[in-house]
Amino acid sequence: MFIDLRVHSLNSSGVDSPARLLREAASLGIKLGLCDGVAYDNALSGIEIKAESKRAMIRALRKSWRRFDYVVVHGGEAKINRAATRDTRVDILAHPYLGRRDSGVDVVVARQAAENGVAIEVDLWSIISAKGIARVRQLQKVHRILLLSRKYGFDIVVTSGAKSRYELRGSKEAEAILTSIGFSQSEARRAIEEVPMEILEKKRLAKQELSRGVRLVED
Amino acid sequence: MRKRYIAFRVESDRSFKREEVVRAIVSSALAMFGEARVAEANMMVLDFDEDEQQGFVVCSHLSVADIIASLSLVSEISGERVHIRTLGTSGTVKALKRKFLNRKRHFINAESTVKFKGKEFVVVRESGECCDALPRDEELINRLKLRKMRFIGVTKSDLRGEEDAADT
Repeated sequence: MFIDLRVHSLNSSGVDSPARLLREAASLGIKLGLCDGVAYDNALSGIEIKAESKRAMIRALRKSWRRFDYVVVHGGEAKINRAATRDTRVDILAHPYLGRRDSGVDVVVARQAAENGVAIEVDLWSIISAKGIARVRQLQKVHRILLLSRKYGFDIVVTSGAKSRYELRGSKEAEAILTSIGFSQSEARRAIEEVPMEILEKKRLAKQELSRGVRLVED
Repeated sequence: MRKRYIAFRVESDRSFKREEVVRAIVSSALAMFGEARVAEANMMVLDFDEDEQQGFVVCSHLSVADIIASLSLVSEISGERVHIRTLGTSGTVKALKRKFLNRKRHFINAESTVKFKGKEFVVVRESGECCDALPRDEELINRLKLRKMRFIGVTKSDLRGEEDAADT
C-alpha cells in the first residue's frame, strides 16, 4: 500500500478539506499523511518546514518536531539541503531539486542522508505535471538521485506532492510510474511503502526518548 | 500475443468528449515511451462512455505497467486538471466489465449556499458524502486557478460543521 506522506489540504496550500482527501485516499486504497503543519487526531500529520536559513530551520525544528508524526524540510536551496540532511530530527528532505538545474543531491548530501537516516523525497507531481523537455530534465534529476541512493545507501521516499484530489495516485499507478522511469520493482515498492513505514516507526520511537539514546521501555 | 484490458475512469470538474480523452491518453503514451514502444505495446483506446466518463484500453500483456503509467501521467485535458484513475486489469472484456465497469458514480447537480470555516461556498454537485463547491473568496479562486480546477472538495460532515479533528 502506498503511504503518501506529502499531501496538502485546504489548511495549507491545497484545495480540498482533509476529510475529503482522506475519503479519496480510501477509495484509491492508499494511506495519507497530511503535511499541513496541523496536528490531526484522525490522520497522520506532518509539518513542512520552509526556512530561509539554517538557523531558522533549526529553530523551527526545535519547536515542532515532537508535535508531529513526521517532519519534512522544504528543500531546493543547497544550504538547506545540506543542513537538513545533517540533522537527525529531520525525517524527509522534500524535493531537493526544486528550482535547481541539478538534482540538489551531491556526494556530501548523499553521505549525510545515509548517516543521519534522512530520506530524500521524489514527488510524483513534479514528473506528472512537467511536459516535454522539462519532464526530461526532471527525470534526469530523479535518475541521479536513484544512482546516488544505490551508491551511498540513503533512502528514497516517494510522495504524490498533491495539492488537490486529482493529484493523488494509487499504489499501482505510483509503482507503474516508478518502474517506467528506471526504478526496479523492489526499489519502487520500498520507496512507496517500506520507507514511509520505517520513517513513522522511527519517529514514534524517537518521541519516547527521554534524552538522546535513552528510552523508557514498558513491559 | 496475449491481450490485457485496462479499465479507467476520468475524474475531473467537468466531463469530456471521447475524442479529447483518446487524444490525451495516446499523446501521453507517445510522449513518455515513444512511437516504437507504443507500437510494441499494441495500445488502443477501445471504448469510452461519455455519460459515465469511464472506458478501457487494450494492450499487450507485457506492457501493462507502461500503459498504466501513461494513463496516470495525464495531468490535464483541454486545460482542465484530471486524474485518469486505473480501475483494474483483466484478460477479457467480459470480466473487465463485470469486475470494474459496473459501479457508477453519479453526481447529483445541486445548488445550495453553505458556510464552511466562516466562508461562503456554493455546492455545485454531490456524490454520496462528497461535495464539490464553488468558493467565493479571491484567495481560494486563485488557488484553484493555479491548479486548473473549478471546485474545492469537501464532505457532508465538513458542511455539518463537524470539525476535522484538528486540535489546534
